[in-house]
Amino acid sequence: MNQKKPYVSFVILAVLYILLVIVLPYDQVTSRLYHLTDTQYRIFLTLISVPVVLTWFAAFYGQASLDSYASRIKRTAEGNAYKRLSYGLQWLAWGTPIIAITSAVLGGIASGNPEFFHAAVIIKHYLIILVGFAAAAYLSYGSSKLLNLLRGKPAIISVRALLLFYVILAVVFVSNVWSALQSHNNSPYFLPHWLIFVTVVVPVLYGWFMALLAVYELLIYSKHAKGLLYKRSLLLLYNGIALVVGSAGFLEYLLLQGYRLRVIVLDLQFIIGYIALLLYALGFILLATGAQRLKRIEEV
Amino acid sequence: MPGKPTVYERVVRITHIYLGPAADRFIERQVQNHLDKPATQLTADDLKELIDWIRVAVALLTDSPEIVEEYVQQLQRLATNPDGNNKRNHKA
Repeated sequence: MNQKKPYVSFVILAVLYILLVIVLPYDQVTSRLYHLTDTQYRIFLTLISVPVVLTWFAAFYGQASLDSYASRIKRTAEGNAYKRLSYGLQWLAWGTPIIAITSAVLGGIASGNPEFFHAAVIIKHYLIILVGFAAAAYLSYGSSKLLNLLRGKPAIISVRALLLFYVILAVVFVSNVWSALQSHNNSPYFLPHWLIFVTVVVPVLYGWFMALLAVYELLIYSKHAKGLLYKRSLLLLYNGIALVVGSAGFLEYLLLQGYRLRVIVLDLQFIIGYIALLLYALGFILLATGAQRLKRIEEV
Repeated sequence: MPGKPTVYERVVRITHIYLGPAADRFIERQVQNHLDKPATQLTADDLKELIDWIRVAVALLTDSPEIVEEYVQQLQRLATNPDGNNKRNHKA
């Protein structure tokens, strides 16, 4: 029965989202941009939403698979660590549809009440930051617990490359925020500068740091894990988590750059976003495969 | 002063090469489910039957028959020489 719960949750969220797409007042900007009638707009939005909903399913499937494995080994030394990883992925699996649904509702409210637009964007951004931060925190906690299980001191893969990568990410993000703040008409934040840096930039950067650290620690753990068959399955799991973390981080970055609630523009950013979503779904499918193989080792 | 490793510990040591941290749990399951005894009471006489069950179980975990055979051969070497040393000779 427990294994059906995540899929029931997914169906409820997916149906709710599609209903909102159909029911909420249509967005005039998008309709005018593509010369769509009300019905055409809703069909357009529904078609665009289908791939998104499918990625949600992949996320629920992946998280449920890892959770099932973590539950199977809950009495072992690794069990607690995998459970924490599962919680991190659960934040992503639930968070993505909740952000989409909230964004749709806020956009619907804002379209009838333009004075609410700034508040709606702020709420959406904070929700994105909260989901990303919580997911990264749990993933980092789980990865550090796994790494602590390695006996002796593992040979450390160069930290320098990791730090360099993180510094580049941080500089790109902060410079984008700064550029947006300098361009008063195009800033997506609608907050005082100090509040943006304290409540947006710092949590996002720290979340990204935790996520990168989690991927790095899982890489070390998977490289030093023993067991030919165990390691093959673990590497699938690791590759899946790395792909999910990378694509989720990129999606977070994309979403925080903009202030669209329901406006859809079929530009390069839209296409890149969809590619990131595809990689996100692929990551969850990979980790699900790894988790299922690891679970089979515990069952035969 | 550590005692001589038991048959169970030798079997787990070999299994660890293939199943890593899941090795002890795997062997405990095979012994309890198929030989109907606690894993720590595994004896050299049980090895032949245990190996047959392990062969079936591991075949479900991999598409590579070479790995299964390699693992089984190491266990068979243990069965024919339960008091001797087992040299690890696995393919990476």
